Amino acid sequence: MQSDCDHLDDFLSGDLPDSKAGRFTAHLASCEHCRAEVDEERWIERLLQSSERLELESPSPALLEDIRSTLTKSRQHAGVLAYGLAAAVVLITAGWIALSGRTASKVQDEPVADISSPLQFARAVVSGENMIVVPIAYGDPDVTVVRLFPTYPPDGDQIVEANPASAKEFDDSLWSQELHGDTL
Amino acid sequence: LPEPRQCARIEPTVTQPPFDALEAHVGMVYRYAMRLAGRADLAEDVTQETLLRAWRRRHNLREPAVARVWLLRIATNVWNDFLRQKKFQPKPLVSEVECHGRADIERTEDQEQVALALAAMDELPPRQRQVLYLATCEELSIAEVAEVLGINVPAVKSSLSLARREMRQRLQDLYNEVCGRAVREAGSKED
Repeated sequence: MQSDCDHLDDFLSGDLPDSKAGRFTAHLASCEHCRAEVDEERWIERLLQSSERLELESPSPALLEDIRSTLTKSRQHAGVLAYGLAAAVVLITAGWIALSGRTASKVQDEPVADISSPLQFARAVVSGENMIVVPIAYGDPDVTVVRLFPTYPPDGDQIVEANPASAKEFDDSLWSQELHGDTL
Repeated sequence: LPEPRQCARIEPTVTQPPFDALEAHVGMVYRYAMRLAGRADLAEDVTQETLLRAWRRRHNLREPAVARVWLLRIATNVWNDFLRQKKFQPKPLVSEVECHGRADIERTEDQEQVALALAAMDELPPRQRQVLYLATCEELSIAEVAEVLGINVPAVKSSLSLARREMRQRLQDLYNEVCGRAVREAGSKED
């Protein structure tokens, strides 16, 4: 037969149903052993929940600094990846245009972005040789997409003079005047 | 007004915690990591990895109210990964400074008792130690403890009962000493 003392663990865990909890509370008044166990358990809980525990085991200030520093690096790394992705978009676009042999005249109605800095970026990518660089209007100001038009046929050795000014000689003002106009 | 749960579902980005919100839990994660690792240097590694992993996965946290349980769960996973990958040297035989904070300052009597209770807890088997810490120190419900540790509720209850019994046994002498002194002091005041 189960004695009242056997309910000690369930009582301490708060798992004893109300009917049995009342009976066990009455039992505590007469059982010194269970009473001592309950008192000691409450004492241990108070110790472990006291503010002294937090004081004893506080993390070093350097830890927080380390976490912040690592997180900052992680964000910067994400930024580099974003730029890398943008560069990949440029190169893939250039490759696609070169392979398909599209000419600039076929896409002259495409909206052109009103930005100048991508030109510098694209020049760096393609070294400015025999290319016309057109930034494409894109919704995100942080993302630059440019289309590169080779000025020679895919299989040819002969330079096609699509524009009197070669990409090498472009400056931003010329770019703006000629590509936004009807010269292409 | 919609319930907070509905808000979270409609616009999860609103409820994503900024890093400052996670930062507020560094101490809690570190103390739990101390129970897992038993060493300050490892606990710092676990804390750092936990916070960074939490930051990367912050989109998964739809309700900031459960951030504590979510972080403790991540810390448990981080520690399990550490164990699997053996990312640390075995515990040195000569004990190093176990924690920061007040280690180099003379402890008060209360702090000494707390330190002894923590030491007794750290001697428990890992599962009992984790369950006891989460249920008693972090005051999580049995269901939350089960979620943090990825085990079922009966397993939590069983480990918790064993851990409590073991703690009472280990700390009995200290309790009798403290309790007896308190009784004697109360008696002398009455006289």
